[in-house]
Amino acid sequence: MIIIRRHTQYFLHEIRRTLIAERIPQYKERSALLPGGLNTPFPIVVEPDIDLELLFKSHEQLQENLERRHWIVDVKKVEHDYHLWKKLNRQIAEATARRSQLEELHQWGEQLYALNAKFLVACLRLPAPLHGAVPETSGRKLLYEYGSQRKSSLTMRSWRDLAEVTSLDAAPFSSFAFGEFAQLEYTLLNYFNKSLDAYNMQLCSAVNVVKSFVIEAFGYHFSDIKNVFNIVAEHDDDENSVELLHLFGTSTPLGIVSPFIRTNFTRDALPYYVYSIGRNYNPHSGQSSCIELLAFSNEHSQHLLVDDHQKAGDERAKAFEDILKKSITNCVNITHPKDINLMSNSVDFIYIQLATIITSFYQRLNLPLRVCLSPSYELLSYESLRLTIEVYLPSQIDYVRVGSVSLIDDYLSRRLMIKHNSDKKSYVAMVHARVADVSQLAKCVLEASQTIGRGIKLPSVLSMR
Amino acid sequence: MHRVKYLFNLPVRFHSSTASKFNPWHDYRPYLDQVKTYITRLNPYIELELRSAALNWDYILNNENSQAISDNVKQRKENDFVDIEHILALHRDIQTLFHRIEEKKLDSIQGEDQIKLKIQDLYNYALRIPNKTHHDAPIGNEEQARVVRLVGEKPDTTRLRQAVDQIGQELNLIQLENMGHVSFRGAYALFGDFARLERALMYYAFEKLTQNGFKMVSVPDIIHRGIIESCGFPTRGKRSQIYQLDYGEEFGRYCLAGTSEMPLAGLLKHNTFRKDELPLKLAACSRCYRAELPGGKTEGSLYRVHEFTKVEMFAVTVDDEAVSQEMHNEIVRLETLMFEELGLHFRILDMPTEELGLSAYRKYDIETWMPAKEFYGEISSASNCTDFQSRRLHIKYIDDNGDERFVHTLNGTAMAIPRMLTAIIESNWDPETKKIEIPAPLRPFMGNREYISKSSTTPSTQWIKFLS
Repeated sequence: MIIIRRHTQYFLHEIRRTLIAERIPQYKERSALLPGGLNTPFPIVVEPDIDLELLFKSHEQLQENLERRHWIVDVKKVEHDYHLWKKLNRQIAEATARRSQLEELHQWGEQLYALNAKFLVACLRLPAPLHGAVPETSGRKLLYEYGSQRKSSLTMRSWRDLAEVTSLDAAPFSSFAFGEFAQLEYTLLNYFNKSLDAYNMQLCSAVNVVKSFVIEAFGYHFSDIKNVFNIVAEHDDDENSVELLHLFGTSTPLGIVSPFIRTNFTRDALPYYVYSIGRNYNPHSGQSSCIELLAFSNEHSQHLLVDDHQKAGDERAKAFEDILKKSITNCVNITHPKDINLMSNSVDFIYIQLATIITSFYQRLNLPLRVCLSPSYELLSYESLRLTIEVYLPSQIDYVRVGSVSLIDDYLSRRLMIKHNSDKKSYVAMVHARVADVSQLAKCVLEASQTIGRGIKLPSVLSMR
Repeated sequence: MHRVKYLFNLPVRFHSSTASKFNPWHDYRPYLDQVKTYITRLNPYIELELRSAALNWDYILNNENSQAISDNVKQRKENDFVDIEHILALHRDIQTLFHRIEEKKLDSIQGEDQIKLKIQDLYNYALRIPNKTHHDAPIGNEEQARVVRLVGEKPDTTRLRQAVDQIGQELNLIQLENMGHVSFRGAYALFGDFARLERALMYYAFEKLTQNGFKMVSVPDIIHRGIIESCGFPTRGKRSQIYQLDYGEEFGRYCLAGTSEMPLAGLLKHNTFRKDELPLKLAACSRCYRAELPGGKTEGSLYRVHEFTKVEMFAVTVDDEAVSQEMHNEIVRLETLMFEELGLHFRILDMPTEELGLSAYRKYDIETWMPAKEFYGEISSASNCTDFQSRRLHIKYIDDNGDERFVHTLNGTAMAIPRMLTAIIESNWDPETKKIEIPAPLRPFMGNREYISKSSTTPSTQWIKFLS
């Protein structure tokens, strides 16, 4: 009986999903970044431009990149498609120039059209090349550690005891926080806001909801209803028009990059630093309040593994790692924003500077923290290198991730048309940093700030005004 | 509205234990108790712990009240969605079915099934009945709104004023064009001091509300549709302004909250307070998502937007109308105080019946003068929902006699950011000096600066017009 009921529920669920998929034409499409066909529901907003030559320059590097990220891709098949794609393009170009072989031209055109839909979309989803400093080991690589971990004691209470927090079945993606704990979140946001303003970085309040092509550029799929919050907007003026949007939050790289999509930075505008404060929605980690930062530059990373002669952990990569480590360790010495050079356009240098600045913010809070380099399999498809900042949470007897700095280089700018110099091929390089996941950090601050009795004494740097 | 999907197999007794036959007309009270028992056992949302709404069935199903309900429905222009005659007809059908079973003219099993279906229908229709209306509320459409108070001086209307988008573009602090390509239609991005002004308004509202006894709550923006519907906002159909999520198992199970009133009310579901715990005053800041119709050029770019930040007040009082009206006045007084301190010219309106929605018993709107578009635009709304939401969400308190009673709920906008930004920026913009004067209460949150002027930190980016 139970089996029959389960089967019935499963079939009803499938029928319901099929009906929804029928009503939402976008779900039948392969790609929103490269929409195909005349009747596609996705408008063409950007023209992605992948450097295929660079992508297939080294078979070993591509293979190793995928293996280290634990991706299963038939590289030989993709490479075969690439050669076929090149051949077809060459044949079409030659035949068009000679104005001959019209029948074959038509045939090649059809073949190329079919291949574009498959091969180019597949290439768009391949991950970014790894940075030489990505640890080759399976675990995280510790770069810096500060403060001593306070062990649990009889007088110590967990944030759950200290804060008024409640969960509800009606809102499974976030809990409700009350009173001082809710205010602490805003106090922390204000602290980071003021700290970033001191570096003359620009605050931006952007959108929380983005279109399908944006999320596809970041490696998400628009019909993946288990990993993405899809919004179906039906327009009153046209019953057949259904718009598909996705909720990610303004404090995600997707939200903060949105005002810069399909734009061109003027010559003197770079490097440019922008940050946003707001929501971050994720089906797995729920709703949180974060501060995100994006840096744009016109110089690309010198340490990406794209050539055969480059190797992970080689001398140049080691030198980069040493400078990064040294800079982070010396973050205690930053007394004034002028101690930091944010005028350089080298994206590797910007990466080091941002990692140092953000670590210094945590140091001022006087919390036990550690800074690590993430292993390759933890990286998202658009990340070439990621450094994580973790703060110790005594009740969990572990560190929790509160911030990160990721090198994106031109992976996103090529997909979302973010250029500089009005040049067709000048794509900006980017560094993305999660300055703070305040919802997580608030727990750490609360536990660290508790006094004997039930009081909380916040660090002096956290004054509201 | 609520769709009843599952009914428990209830062993409802159709035959009276007494010797005389059960007659649903003569034995009205036991009959009504049986109907109520049925409704109580309905499970409107199987995945959500929320019992069926405890509507005032004694009032709704009493023929003597049908005229009053019908008049109220008409006055509130809800007659396209609810018909009390239809509800009473269903009620009569149910009585007849009970009678036929009793008279053995209908098989009891079949009859029970038919009763269940009729009760489902009755419940679903009754949920659409709007709240009662305060006797002083003006009757009619928005033009009948009564001006309660006018605050501040109307700015000089003889000279043309620049709109917020023009000022923003001149200072390079706003991006409106082309944002619709990446997000909602009419989406916007604020930069630099405009974004800082947004946060300053938020912090200022927090400060004022906490000083006045409101407790801050951080709330989720994604909530179950059952909570939204229980607050009086339909999630489906043409009237809905709610965005439904296609996530997980069921399309539309979770929705985006249009205001933090929804999660705050949801937070209190199935809660019973002690009388001395009331009034409860909560405040929350949330991102609000609304499927609004585009406003057009007459209202300005930041007036009707699909997502915006808002600080909201929510209060719970005992079910004494005088007490909840007093709280309503306090909410309006607090709103008035904040907008007055920010130097705005505005009017307080007692809203007419057609503007009350489903849940409000009485509503005061505050409209401020929008200098560029030259109209009074709504920046705040305060509603007394009496027991409309508490009956649906089972929010109660224990009175002096130890009885459980449904509380009154109230809500009010403390700060609807984009509209406030429009009013403040347009009112304080000096086209000659190209500066915006920051209202004094916001200066502490903006580095004690007095003016917003053009900043060099905003990059010059250009939209790439043509694709190859």
